[in-house]
Amino acid sequence: MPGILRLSIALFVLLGSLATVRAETPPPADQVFRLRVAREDSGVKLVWTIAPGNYLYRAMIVAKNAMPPGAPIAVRTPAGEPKDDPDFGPQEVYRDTLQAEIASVDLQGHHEIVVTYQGCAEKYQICYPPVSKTIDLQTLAIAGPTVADVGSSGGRSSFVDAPQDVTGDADRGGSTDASQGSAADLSYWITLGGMLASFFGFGVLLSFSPCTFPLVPIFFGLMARSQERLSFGRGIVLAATFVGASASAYSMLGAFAAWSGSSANLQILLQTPIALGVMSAVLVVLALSMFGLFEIQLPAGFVNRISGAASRGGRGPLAAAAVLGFGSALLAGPCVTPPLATALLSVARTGDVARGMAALFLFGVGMGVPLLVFGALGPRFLPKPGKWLVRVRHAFGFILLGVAVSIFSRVLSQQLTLQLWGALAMGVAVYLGTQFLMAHMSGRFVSMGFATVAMLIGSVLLIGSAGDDNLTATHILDRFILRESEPADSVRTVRSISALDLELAAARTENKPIMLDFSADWCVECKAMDAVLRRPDVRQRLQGFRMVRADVTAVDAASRALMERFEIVGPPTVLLFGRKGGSDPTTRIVGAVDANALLAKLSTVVTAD
Amino acid sequence: MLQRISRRTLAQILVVAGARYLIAPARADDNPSETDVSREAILRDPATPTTGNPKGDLTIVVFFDYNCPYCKQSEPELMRLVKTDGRIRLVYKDWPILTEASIKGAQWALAAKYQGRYDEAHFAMMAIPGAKIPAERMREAIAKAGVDMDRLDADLQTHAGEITALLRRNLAQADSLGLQGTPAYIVGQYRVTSALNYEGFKHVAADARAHAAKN
Repeated sequence: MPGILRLSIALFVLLGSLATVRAETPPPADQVFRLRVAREDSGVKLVWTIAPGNYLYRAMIVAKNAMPPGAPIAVRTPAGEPKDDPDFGPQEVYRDTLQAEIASVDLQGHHEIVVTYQGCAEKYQICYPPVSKTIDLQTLAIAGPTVADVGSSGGRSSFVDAPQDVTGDADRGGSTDASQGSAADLSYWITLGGMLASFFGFGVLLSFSPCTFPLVPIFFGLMARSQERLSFGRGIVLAATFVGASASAYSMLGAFAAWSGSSANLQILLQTPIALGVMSAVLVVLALSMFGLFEIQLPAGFVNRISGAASRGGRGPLAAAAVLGFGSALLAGPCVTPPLATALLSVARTGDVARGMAALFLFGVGMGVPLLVFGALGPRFLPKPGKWLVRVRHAFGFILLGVAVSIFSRVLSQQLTLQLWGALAMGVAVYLGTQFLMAHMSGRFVSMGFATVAMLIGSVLLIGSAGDDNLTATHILDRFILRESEPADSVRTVRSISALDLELAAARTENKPIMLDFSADWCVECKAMDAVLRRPDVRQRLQGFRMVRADVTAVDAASRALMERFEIVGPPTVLLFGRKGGSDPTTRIVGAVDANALLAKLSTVVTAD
Repeated sequence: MLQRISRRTLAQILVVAGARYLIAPARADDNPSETDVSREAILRDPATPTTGNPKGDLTIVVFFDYNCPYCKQSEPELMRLVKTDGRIRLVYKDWPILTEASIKGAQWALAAKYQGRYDEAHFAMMAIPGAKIPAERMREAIAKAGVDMDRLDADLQTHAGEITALLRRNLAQADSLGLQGTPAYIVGQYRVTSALNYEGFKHVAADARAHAAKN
């Protein structure tokens, strides 16, 4: 479902940017300083557009050959505006725009150059980390990392931005602005309506994201549970109860956020072993009832007290729908948290409990829209209850067990989680196997096939988790024989430029040569390279090296930046840095090579020092 | 006919929902340093240098770089508040992102902590005005501030792992906070992404305290 993924990503970005605007966080350096390149008779012209309120340092503009980086290439920059603030020392800076030039004479013999520049934001009184761009001199294409794309991860933090009036300009210090808050009634209602509508809209959009998938099987399980055929009205009532309950859960979150003035507390509070355990237990009970072990009927008195007057069809399912709707909204949809947190954050800022509740309620209703549609129309497409319905109910029983495991796994060890999944897969295998033996339908061999697959999956999971929680399954063999102990390699894994710089600097202090190896989970060649790196003779030789792994599994700005830093086309690539070398690699190995080739390269690096 | 279609549809829903479930948990736990970027780690990492009142009711965390002029400009303002207020606990997060010399500076400052002279090294480097201070000048300033340089180099060797680990944690924390540049502050529960003056710091601190009292 790439469409759904894309949609949810777009939504995240949208919500994220909304939050950024509100919080007045400084924009990333890449948005503030924009570089263009043009060819001229005399050479290459570099043109920066600098957003208002920001400046670039003249002294920080550097050009070098891309690979291997050599001496700086002369960049002709005009005289800048002197910034002779005593705290800043004598600096020349540029504002608005900057035109610099690299003469063709200086570009001879170069194919690609890296231009690095750095500046500060006066408005926020902060300085940005340096930005590097690679320029292909043939095509003049600019490739370049944005400085790590960190803005999007801000939502993870439990700190909120200080209110605008506090941080404003440093020069203004603590001046407060009291002119807000006296909005006309009409505009208040328009704003309120707009806010409610947008929360509803966000809910609808989110309902198509994978985040709400836990709700789907739970809801379908509910529907499949009812013995007789669901009427149109009954389906709607069931769906409305479920959605209404989950929306109330959200509105409770909204109330809590508005009241406490902070966002994720309640969500975090609910991710406790007890809360998750209770939810899983409810799901397991529901699953067992799907298997026909018993029928869930709440005590009549209890049900009547909740629902008042009696009605046809029994209240058990409705009560169950309400409980599950409420609980699953709070506990089952964890990955809704980032956008939900953004929504909660904006409610928390206003601190208006009633509005917060209304907004989050509509958010919940929006998320339940597809379920409402299913509830109304679903029963029509369901055939008469019969044997197949029993099987569907059993299937949902397994799915509910799966949901229960996945919810509870958040507080379980990896090993236990795998074992639970393995047991579940085994259960499915046994179930399907029995179907094969007992049923005499045409598709019985298909079910045998599925049983085998399920058994294989289950076996892999169970065997894989047999050792310890490090998931090194073969550790269990240690109980039977004494194996040669393998020295633990100290490989540091980095995923961003700043982390990499830190590792390189750290290695410098240790006075060791460095092996930097670019790898990714999706890269098959890397597996071959890893096998080479695991060989005893290679490990032996690598003892003297500091090993850093650049993990570029994620396809994002940070990993692009890492690769562009050293002009890496892709993993696997190994860069070797000599003991006395600067920040540039002395040797590079592209693609997977055999052990002898690697050892030879390692030797050259060591002897070169 | 109707029966067949709906059976297939149901089966599809089943497969999709099931597959999502099998895939999602496997990817969920990709970040090994979740505790390193927790609120607790940001506020109370035991390895991080602190100053001010250790028992203060308000914690201010400052993310800075030794080549960041705004950091240098606003630090005396912040220190003034820490002194006059008396109930602020200040946490230093060395966050060397601007130049290579910044990393050196941060390493030296953290190494000086082992002889109890972090503050000396820190203030010596922060007192050099400007944005492109070479490492040598930083070193001179530290030496002049009374830091035993031989011991510093020895400590840097012995504790290289700890220092790097701390800087690594600081980087991860800054990332997790979505910080774009230096300086940045955490004041109570607030994230402040710009340099402030005395009045500004005072105001945020008061707001943070008022907010904390409300809860």
